[in-house]
Amino acid sequence: MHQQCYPSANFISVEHLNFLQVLFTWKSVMSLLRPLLLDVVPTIQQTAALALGRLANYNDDLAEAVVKGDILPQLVCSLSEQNRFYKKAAAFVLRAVGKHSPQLAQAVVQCGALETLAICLEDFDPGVKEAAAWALGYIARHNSELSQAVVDAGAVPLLVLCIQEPEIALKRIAASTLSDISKHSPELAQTVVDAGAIAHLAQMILNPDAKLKRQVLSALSQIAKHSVDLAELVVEAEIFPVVLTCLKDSDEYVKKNGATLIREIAKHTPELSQFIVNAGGVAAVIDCIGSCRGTVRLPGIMMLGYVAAHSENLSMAVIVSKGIPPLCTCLVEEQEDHIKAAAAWALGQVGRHTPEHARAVAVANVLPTLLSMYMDTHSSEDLQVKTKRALKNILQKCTYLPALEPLLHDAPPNIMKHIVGQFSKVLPHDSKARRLFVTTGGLKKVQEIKAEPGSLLQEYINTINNCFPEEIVRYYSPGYSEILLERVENYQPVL
Amino acid sequence: MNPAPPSPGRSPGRLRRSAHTGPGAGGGRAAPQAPAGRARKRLGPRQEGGRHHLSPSPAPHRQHRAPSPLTGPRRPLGPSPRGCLCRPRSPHGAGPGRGRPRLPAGGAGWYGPLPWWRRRRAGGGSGGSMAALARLRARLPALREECFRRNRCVDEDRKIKYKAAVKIQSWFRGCRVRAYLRHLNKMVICIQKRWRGYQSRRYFRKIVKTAYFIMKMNFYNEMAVRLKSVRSFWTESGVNKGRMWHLIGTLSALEIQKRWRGYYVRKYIHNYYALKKYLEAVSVNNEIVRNELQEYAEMNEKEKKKKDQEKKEKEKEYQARKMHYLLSTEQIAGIYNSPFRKSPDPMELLLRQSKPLSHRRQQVKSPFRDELYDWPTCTRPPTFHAGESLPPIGRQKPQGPFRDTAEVLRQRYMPLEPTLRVAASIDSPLEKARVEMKRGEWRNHIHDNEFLPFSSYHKNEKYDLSIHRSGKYGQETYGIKHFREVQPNKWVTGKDFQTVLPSIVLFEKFGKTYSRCGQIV
Repeated sequence: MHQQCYPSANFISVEHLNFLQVLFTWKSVMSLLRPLLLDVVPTIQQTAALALGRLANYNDDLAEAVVKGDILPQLVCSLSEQNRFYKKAAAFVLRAVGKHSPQLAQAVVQCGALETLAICLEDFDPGVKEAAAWALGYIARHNSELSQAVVDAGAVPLLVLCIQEPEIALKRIAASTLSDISKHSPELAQTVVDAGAIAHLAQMILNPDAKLKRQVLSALSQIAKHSVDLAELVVEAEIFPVVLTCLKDSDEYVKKNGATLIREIAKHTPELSQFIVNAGGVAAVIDCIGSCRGTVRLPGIMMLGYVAAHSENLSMAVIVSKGIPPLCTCLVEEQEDHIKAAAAWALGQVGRHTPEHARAVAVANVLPTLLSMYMDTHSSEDLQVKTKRALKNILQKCTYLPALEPLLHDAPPNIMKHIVGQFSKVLPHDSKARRLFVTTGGLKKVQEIKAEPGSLLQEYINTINNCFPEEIVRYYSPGYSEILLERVENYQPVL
Repeated sequence: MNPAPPSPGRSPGRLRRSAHTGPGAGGGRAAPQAPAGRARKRLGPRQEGGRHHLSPSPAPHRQHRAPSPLTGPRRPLGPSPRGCLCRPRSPHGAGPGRGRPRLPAGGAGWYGPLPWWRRRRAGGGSGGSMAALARLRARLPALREECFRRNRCVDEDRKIKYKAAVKIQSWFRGCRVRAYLRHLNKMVICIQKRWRGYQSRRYFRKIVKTAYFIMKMNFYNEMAVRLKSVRSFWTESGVNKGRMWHLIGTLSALEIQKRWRGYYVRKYIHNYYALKKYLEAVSVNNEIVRNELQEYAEMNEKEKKKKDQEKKEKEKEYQARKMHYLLSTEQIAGIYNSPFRKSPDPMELLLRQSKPLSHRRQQVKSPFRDELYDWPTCTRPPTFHAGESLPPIGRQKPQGPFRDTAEVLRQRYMPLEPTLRVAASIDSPLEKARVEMKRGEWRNHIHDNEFLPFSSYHKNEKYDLSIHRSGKYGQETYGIKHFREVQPNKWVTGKDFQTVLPSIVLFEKFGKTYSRCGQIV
C-alpha cells in the first residue's frame, strides 16, 4: 500500500507542471506532500522530498509556497538523521528554494539550514557532498550577507577539501561555490584564500575537463579581482604560463574565463601587467580575441586596454605584439554596443601616449570608424562617450597627417578643434606636408570652417593660414570666384 | 717722623704750603706738609675708592692725618682743605663742638690772633719778668693795632689770594677735564673709525661678489650664444679638434647642464636602445608563446580526433562481432562480398578478422556495490547470475493463449533492478554507528554488573575475582607480586650494570623538583 503511495509528482516532467498548476492549486499539492515527508517508510520520504524539490525548482511562486508551508524546518531537522538519498533530496529542495531570490535564500538560512548543509559536506557519499555544495553555492550567490552567513557556518575549509576529491562533478560544484562566495568582497575572498584554496585551484587548471576548467578559472578571477595582494597571491601560485593554454581551449567559456582571469590580474598595477607581457600573455590574448566571436571577446579586449593604459612601454608592447588589427576588427564586426565601446576604449588607451603610438593606431585606419560611431545616432550613450574620449586622446598626439585628412570633412566642431590643432602644429615645420595639404583639399576645407573669432579653433586656423602664401589662402577661401568675377565686372580697362 | 699718610685729594701742596708759610713763619709746618705734599705723588691703591690711578680727581674729601707734634691732636679741618685757606670753616661735626677752630700752636697768624701767651718766641725768656711785663704792656696797644692791621692785610690779601687760588685751581681743573674729554674723544673716534671701516669692508666684499657673479653669468650666457653659432659653423666645416678646444675653453654652465641632463635621461629614464631591445625580446617571446600554444592546440585536436576515431573503430568492431553471421561462406557470398565487386568490402574483411561475440551477457551492475562500506569483511560484492541459458530452438509453440516464450523467459530472467527501498538500508549510518558502538562497549566490559556507588549495602559483598587473577590453587602471584620471570643463572654478572656516561642533570630532577602531594591530582 505504501508502495502505491509513491507520489506521482516524482515522475512529472517540467512540461506537465503547468497542467498541474491548472488542475491543482499549489497549496493543495504542498499539503499533500507535506505529510508524506513524515512517513514511516524512508523511500516515501525521499521521494516526497524529491518531488518538492522539483516543484520548487521550476517556479519561484512554488518555492515561496514551500517556504510558507513550513516545510523547510522539518527537512532541516530530519536531514541529520536520515540516509544519503534523503539527504540528497533535502539538499536539492534547499537549493531549489534558495536559487530564486535573496529573500527566499534568507528564509532558507533562517531555518538553520546552513549548519546542516555544512555537516552534509562532511558526509562520505560524494553525491551528498555535491548536493550540499550546490545548495550552498546557490545561497551564497545572491549577496555578501548571505555569503558571509555561509562562511560563518564553516563551509569554506570543507569546500576546499571537496575540491580535492576525485569525483569531477563534486570538484566542479565546489569550485563554483567558492567562486560564488569570493566574488562579493575582499574579505570573503581573503577567507577563501586563507583556507588554502588557491593552490588546489591552480593545480586543477591542468585538468582536461572543460566545465571544471570554467569554474576553476572563474573562481580564481573572482579572487584576484579585489585587490593587488590577492592578485599577487594568485600569480604566485604559478598559473602563468599554464593559464595561456586555457586560452587555446576548444570550449568558448573556458577561453572567456581565462581571459577574465588575466584581465583581473593585469588591471591592478603596471608591474603585474609587465609580468603578464613578459610571460607572453598579450600574444595569447590577442590570438584568443581573433579566434572568438561575440561576448566571449570582451574580457580579452578589456585586458589589452588595461595593459596599454598603465604605461607607454606596455602600450608599445601591445602594438608590437600586433594587437591593433584584432581590436579594429572587433570594433567593426561586433554588433553589440558594449563590446564596441570596450574596443574603442582599448584603442584610445593604446594610442594616447606618444605620437608613435597614435601613429600606429592611425595607420590602421580606425579613426574614421571611431568618428562615424561617435556621430551615429543609433549608438548608445556609453559608446558615444567612449569613442569621443578615444578620439580626443588619439588626436591630441597624432602627427600622422594622411590619417587626419579624411577626418577634416566630417568632424563635428569639438573634434574639429583637435584635428585643426594638430595640423597647426605640424604644418609650420614640414614643407612636403604643406604641399600635400593643399593638393588633398585640406586647405580648402579649413577655409570653409566657420569659427568664432577669438576661439581656439580660429587661432589654429590663423596659424595654418600663416603657413601658406596669401594668394593660395585667398584662392581657396569660399566665394573667391565670385569676388574675382566682381572685380572683373568693376574693372575699367585702361585703353 | 712718619709722613702723613697720603691723603686723598691733596692738591699740589705747594700752594698750600706757600699760603701756609706766607704770613707766618710756620717753618716747622713745612716739614710735615712737604712730605704730605710729596706724598701725594705716592698715591696708590690704598686710597679710598681707588679712583686716583687715572685722574687726579679733585673730589673734596676729608683727609685724615696722623697727629703730628706740630699740629697736635688731630684737628678736623674744613671740608675743603685746599680751598679755604683763608677762611676758617667750622668743622663738620668733627670733634667736640668748638666755637672757633683751634689754631695751630705757634703757627701762622691767619687762623686768628693767637693769644699772646701762646706764641712761641725765639729767645724771649722769663729774665726780667716784671720789666718784660711792663715792656710787653707798653707794646700791647701797638701790638693790638699791629695785629689788627696785619690781620686785615692778611685778610685782604687772603681774599685776593683765595680768589686767585680758586681761579687758578678752577682753570687747571678745567684744563684737566678738557684734557680728559679730549682723550676720551680720541679713544671713541678710534673705536668708531675701526668699526665703521670693518662694516664697510664687509659690505664692499658683498657687493664685489654679486657684481662678479653677475658679470660671470653674463659672460657665460654670451659665450653660450656665441658657442651655438660657432658650433654649427664648426660642424659644417667638419673640424673636430678645433671645436674641442673651443669647447674646453669656453664651455658655459648652461651647456654643461644641457649635456648632463640629456645624458642622464637617455641612460636611466628613457633608454631608447634598451626599450627597443625589450620590445624585440617581447615580440620574440610572443612568437615562441604563440608557437607553443599552436602546438598545444594542435595536440589537443589530434588527441580528440584520435579518441573519436578509436571510438568509431571500437563501435565498428563491436558491430562486426555482433553480425558475424553475415560473413560470407564458400557457397553463399555475404552481403558485403558481392560478386559484382572487384574486391570485398572492408566490412567483409573486418568480419573475417573478428571473433564472434560470445553469448555471455555483459556484467550487470551489482546492486550492493554501493553498500560496500557496510560490509567490512566482504571485499567482492556478490553478483547475481544472469540467466545464461537461451530458450531452446525449434520448440513447438504450445497451444493455447500463452504468451510468447521468449518474452516470458526474458521477463523471468530479467536482472533484478532493486528498487530504492531494497537498495537502501533502512538504518541510517548514524544508527548503524550507534549499534556498533554499543557492541564495542559490551565487548570491552570487564563484567556486566553496573558499578554502583559506595554504600553500606554493598559493603559485605564478596569481591568476585577476575579471571586473570584467579589461578588453580588460589591467587596467582604473577602480575601482583612479580611481573617478570627472572633467571639468575643466565645473568652475565652478579652486579647491576653501571652507567658509564654521566646522567643528564636535568633528567635527574624529574619528579623531584616539587613535592609529591601535587601528583595526587
